[in-house]
Amino acid sequence: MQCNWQRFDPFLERLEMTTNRQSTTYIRALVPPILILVLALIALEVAVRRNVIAPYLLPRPSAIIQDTFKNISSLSNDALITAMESLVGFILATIGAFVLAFAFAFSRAFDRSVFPLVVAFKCMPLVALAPILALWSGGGSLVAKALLAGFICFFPVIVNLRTGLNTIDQEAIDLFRSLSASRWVVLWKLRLPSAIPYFLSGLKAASTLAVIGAVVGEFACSDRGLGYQITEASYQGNTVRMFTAVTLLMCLGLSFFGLLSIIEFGMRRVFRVEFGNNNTI
Amino acid sequence: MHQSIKTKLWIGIGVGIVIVTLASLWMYLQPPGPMPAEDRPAGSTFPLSPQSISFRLKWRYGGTSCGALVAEKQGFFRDVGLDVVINQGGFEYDSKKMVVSGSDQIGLTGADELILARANGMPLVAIGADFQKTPCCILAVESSGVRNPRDFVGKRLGVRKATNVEYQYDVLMKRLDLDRKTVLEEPIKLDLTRVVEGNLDMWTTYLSEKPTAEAKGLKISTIWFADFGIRSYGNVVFTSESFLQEHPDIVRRFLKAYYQGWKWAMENPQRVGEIIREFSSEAPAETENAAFALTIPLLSPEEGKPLGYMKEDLWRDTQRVLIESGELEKEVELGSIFTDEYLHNDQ
Repeated sequence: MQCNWQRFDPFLERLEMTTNRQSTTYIRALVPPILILVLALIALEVAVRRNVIAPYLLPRPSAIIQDTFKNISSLSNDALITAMESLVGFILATIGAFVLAFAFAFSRAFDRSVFPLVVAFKCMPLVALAPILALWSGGGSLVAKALLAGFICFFPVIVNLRTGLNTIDQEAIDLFRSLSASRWVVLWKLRLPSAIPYFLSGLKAASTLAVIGAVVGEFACSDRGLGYQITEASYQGNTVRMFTAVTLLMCLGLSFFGLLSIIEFGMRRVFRVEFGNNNTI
Repeated sequence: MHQSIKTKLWIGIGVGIVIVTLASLWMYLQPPGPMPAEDRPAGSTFPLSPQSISFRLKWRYGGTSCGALVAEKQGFFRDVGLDVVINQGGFEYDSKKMVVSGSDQIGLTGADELILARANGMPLVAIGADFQKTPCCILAVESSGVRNPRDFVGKRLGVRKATNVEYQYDVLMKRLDLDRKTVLEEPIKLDLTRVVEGNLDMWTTYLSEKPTAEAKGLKISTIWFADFGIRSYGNVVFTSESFLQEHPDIVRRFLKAYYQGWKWAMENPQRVGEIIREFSSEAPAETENAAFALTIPLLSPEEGKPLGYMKEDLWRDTQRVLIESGELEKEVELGSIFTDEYLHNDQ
């Protein structure tokens, strides 16, 4: 079924007087998925109320909202803890990936020796690593969860950054070489700016993964956080609380992603970076 | 043209393979047909063919579930005309969820978990209680000097979070007027490495873990919660309300064979380990025998009552512990939470 956007034009014309056309494009992009989500939630509410779906299998959306507001204080604390673990892990992964990707760009020999080990490291299953890290660092510590979040984030950032640092316009390289620029100057003045779009893409992909890593750590061994809420709700058979925690985790992941999208938007405007037809060295 | 005929041919072959695979799978999953008349035992009053059901344990194969394992190995289930598949439980396979969804027909869980499940709307019913007393305890390394709860102050305790052991420990401390903040608590999972390394003085667990800890070279003292007034059922056998309504005869036969298995195990405790090993090779038979020996005092009901017997006042005590710990907000109607109508008095 085609949506007739023209019927929204009077509203959009008024909106365009205060915003630019790009913002209305974003609004047009957001309306369909929000509409579908609202319709799905209404259908689910009706289905559970009429016992088409058992409430202990899938709770009513209104029950989830009620549970959230009833326990807003404890859930906020747990959400903050999971957010901290995710953020610390994300920052550690970004710093580590940045340093290593630069080393790869600076030395081809180092790149050839170490990058395959990075790929092998990524193949370690997270759920197997979680109890080991908990054992080393002690059950309640933030360290294990942050390390797990960092572990899962690290790979997309380093792969994207490494690709970005190696994807450069050949003419620009020739120009720099003709001016006798050192390797360090080429790296700092040419490679790094052209790697920014790749770096930001990697960060966006990693942002939601950080939350997953923190939650896996909380499943393995924790007494706080949204992952612990899910474990406790599972023991109690409290499906509403499980879905409340899952919904909050979703919101957390979306917030991280949204924040990075805003940073990306700002950086594109400031640095005027674009993806172009670049050559890979 | 030639290419499009070839493509259609390959698509046809692919669709044919998918249909044959699905049809084979469907036929494989159908229950077996009735036994031919000439093969039926003479004078047999049992069903013509074994009825297949699956039983989901609370945890892994071990001493706390050996009633079912013995019943399977000694043929007690077969004798009552049942073909029982015994599935392990655990974090990944919560027995309550498996039974309520119909993946398994009968399960084993904690009485406290059943009350919480009922409070959250799951239509499950206890049909027999294995443990008449709580198996929850704190095991302490002897060198720590911990002999009773008043020695906990300043000691390092590993707490298995979001389990019945944690909240029973919480109630124990409240009833004895002790502050949990005076104990140096740390969340742990199943691994005892931190205890073995000397980073923890004690940990919350079940009585049956003591032989496993001693096998790692630790000298252990036990603080059993039941000794300090915590009254609660432990593991209970349960099923869904719909299965109970539709198949009461299967439930009755299952319980007859199941508790026959427990009775055999209590009479032959030195052979339990070898039976468990046939299901799982994780622990040595001697460790399983020792764990089972610690479980025997939990099994015995009141004088003259059958194994699995339940009474409302102990269910009420179990619920009271949940309320005191804050796990349960308000009382659940207990009359419909259990039935001992299907137990056999001739055990």
